[in-house]
Amino acid sequence: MISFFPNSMEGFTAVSDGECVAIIMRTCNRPVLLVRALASVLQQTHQNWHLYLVNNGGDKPTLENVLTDYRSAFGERLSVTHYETNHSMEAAANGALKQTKGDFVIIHDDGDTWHPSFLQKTTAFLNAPENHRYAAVTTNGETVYEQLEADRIIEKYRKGQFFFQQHISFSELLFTNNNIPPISFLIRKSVADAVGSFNVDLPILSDWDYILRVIQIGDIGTLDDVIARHHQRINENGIHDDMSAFREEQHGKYNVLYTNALIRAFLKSDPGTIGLLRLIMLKGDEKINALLQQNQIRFDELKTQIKRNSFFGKIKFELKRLKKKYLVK
Amino acid sequence: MTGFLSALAKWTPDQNWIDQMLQRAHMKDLVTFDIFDTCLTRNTDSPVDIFAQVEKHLLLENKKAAGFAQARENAEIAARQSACEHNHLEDITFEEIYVQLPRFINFSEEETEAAKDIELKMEQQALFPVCDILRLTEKLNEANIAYSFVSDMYLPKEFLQKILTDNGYCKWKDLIISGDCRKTKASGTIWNIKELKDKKILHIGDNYRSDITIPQKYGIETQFYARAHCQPRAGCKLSPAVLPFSISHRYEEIILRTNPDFSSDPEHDWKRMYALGQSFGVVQVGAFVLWLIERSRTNNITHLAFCARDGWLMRKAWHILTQDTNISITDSYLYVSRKVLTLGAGYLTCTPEKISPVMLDFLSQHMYATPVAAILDRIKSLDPTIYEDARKIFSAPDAYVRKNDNLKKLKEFFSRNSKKFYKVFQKYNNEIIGYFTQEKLYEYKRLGIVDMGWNGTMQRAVRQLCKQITPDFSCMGFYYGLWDSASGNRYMTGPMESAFFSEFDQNNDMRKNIQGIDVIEELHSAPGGSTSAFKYEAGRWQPVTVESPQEREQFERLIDPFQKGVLDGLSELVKYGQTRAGLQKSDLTTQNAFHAYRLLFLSPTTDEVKVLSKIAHGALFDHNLTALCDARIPARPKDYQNVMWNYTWTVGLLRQWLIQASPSQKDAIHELTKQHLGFLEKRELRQFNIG
Repeated sequence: MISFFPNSMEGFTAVSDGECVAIIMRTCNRPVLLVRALASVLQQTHQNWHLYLVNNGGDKPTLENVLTDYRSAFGERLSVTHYETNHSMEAAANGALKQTKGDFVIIHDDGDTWHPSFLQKTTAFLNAPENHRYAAVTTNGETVYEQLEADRIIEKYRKGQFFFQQHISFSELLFTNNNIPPISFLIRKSVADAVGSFNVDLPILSDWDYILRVIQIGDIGTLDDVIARHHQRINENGIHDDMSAFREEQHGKYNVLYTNALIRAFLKSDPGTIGLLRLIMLKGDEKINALLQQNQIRFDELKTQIKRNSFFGKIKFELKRLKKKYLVK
Repeated sequence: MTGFLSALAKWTPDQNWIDQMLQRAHMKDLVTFDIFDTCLTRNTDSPVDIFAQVEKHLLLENKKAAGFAQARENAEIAARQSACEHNHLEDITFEEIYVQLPRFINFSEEETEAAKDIELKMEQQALFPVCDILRLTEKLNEANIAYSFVSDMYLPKEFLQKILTDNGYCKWKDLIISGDCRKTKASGTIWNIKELKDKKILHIGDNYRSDITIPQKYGIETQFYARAHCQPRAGCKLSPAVLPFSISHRYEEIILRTNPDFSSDPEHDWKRMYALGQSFGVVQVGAFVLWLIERSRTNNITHLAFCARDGWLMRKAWHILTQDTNISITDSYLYVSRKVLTLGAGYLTCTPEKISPVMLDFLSQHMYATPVAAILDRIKSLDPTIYEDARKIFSAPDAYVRKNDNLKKLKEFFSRNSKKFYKVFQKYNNEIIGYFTQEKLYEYKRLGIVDMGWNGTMQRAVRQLCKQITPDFSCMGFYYGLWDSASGNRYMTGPMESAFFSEFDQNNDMRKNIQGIDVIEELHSAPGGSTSAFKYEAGRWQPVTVESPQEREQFERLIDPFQKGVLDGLSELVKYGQTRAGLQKSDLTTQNAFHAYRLLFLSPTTDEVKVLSKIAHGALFDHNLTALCDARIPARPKDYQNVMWNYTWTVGLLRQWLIQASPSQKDAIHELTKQHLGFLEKRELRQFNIG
């Protein structure tokens, strides 16, 4: 008998019921943001976690000075790695990933925050027997836009919710890049071990690449609860910082390069399937063109109707009719 | 005798009322009684809290029952909907509710059956007889006057028969239950059943609509009996966390009603505030102090500075709960206020040429339309030329500044007078540094600041000022709650922890949390006024406080009894292991306290709205007192919204308005509630007859 469903987490027996969360936090000379992120972790109602803080090339004495005040609250639950120079985000995460122990892994960067129930709800979700088929879980959340003013953060506004989807579809993920912010994405440690490192050759889109590798192992569950916050720094004109503009440009470039790589990987085992790929794309193109044509026809019809039914349209139509009737003769 | 029974035993029977009822009964064929909160009353604040008892019981038996209470409530709503839509039935049975239960919680058949049994057991344990009614039924039996029970209730008839018998009721004629006959008092159809039809009846009950106005339409003579009445609360998700406040508050409510004419007692406000202290206050303050003990130990705190004026009650509670313990943390009461701290710290962030943005925000803050002169007066010690300049900039000397209106102008005015203001900041700085040095504040190895919280501005200023003397000074803050703006201050405040809610909460939750803050600040406040400056006298820096006769009077009338209630309750806890209402140390968790806060401020009873809205509050650093709720309904509905924005406890305000509103005003208030209290859950909106 041939059977395809279910196969999420197939052959993956390393599903545990543990509760310890390894939190990776990358920071570089942003103490004003960092202390808020530390508080976000410390205020969790689920207290079984360990924070792996990566000082990614930032000033060591400044960071250690900030941490002095928090050491007692963290107790044994804090490991700090100092990098002398600034590494890529991926390399910094990989360094911490290698150290992590526990049952779950998540990245909580220094700019973002959680609702106090985040870890409680996400670990409970993945530990529920009916959810053992999920490799990871993502939650709903919101984006906070804020400004940094000397030594304080001023929130400007919040934008509703993430591009949250009730179900995470593999095909959707392939089609639209990644809409899952790391702050909302808790993964089983066993799955993280199997997925391996973040791709250091991808200076951008590495989160997407990582999630695509996760979903190859198993499905991603969802929790429609606004419990994660992605924070965006904006300038006085409401525009994202310069780094974001640079990332946007890089995004376009690496989107193409990454897709090319995916196609090459697909063709590698059987180059002949290029024909199948071409066929699928042609069929898809045909369907899209047909839909566009239909839309154009409908659009033209509506345009004519609007023209005729508007006040001036009616006068114009009537004048034309009268002209035809009386003047042409 | 259990705690609750002992409270009921203190009741003086209302003999006059009993005699009057007996006299009226002689002229009737039958006397009928409502059952719940008339003949029998529960030991919880709200009837649904029994479901929380069931959940607690199931969890203690290690059953996976988290969420049962809420599921049970939802199952009942679903059963009612189903009975109404499919079978056009007016009421439901206990069995029908439990048929719906698995829709809301993952329970097996066996687990559902077990929950059913436990619910009946919990009901049985929670119900107690009401002495006035019990005595009246005895008299009716002696006089051979027939009496029956008529109740809108889903519980099984046999069960109710047993409960009534166990609680001393006997020789009744009929027990008529809506779940049984599918007719209700709420609609009035129950009065048409054969046992009641065409009889001369006197009906006694506690629900004004279904026991009084509806039966009257069916020709029934009625008597309202409110002594055992309870007003259901729905201020938070139903769970076992509601129980400590629910049970202790119900106990206190019963004690309040010891005397039959309790509501006309001239001491009623005092007693009610004391009762609130013994119930809500013990849970709230006790939980905070126990949390503070744990967090201080974890963070190796060596000294706690309780900040004026909110820290007053907390410190007293700290002394009670840490006596006879091995805690070596020293403590002090710090005479500070937002004004002296921020103005003192302003000297460090400003220059003679420029006032910092933080200081500009602080100096300009105001709640309502405020005269410019008043904004300047609250700073004190100003150069007279500043007033002259103000007159030049603002056309009239008594020009008003409204929120956002004229604000830019005001900030420009402060900026152009920066040199003069800088001098004032310097004066405040000298004084507070002198006071802090005297209090050895920056000498403690690990200092903890204790206050009610919200933005972290006090801790920010304390840290800035202490760093002026000791650059490596550090401190931690321990608070009731923090708002979203606190996270922006964290870098300058140092670590801050909060017991009940934090800036990381969801928006709707924050809007709910804000509801009670003005009330709770006043309830914790010290008897003396706020610190406005310091003077050096007899070799010491002494705080200069702003004494207000209005505030002193308010303290004695409403705040002092609350605080006495809290401290008496905590003393009982230490001495006897529990309070008179049965609260134990294990009840004083931050989660239970947070639920108590939500229950009180998101669904207050009518009596609580009345008494709490008598409290006035000083929201800004000038501490000018304004009422927490304005009981007067604005003349025009279009003004409702503007008036509403002036108050943080909007739930209390709208409830206060509803008490006295005319039917058309009620409609407008309901509309306002729908529009502006959308952050409340359906359950919480029921108090406004919405949802």
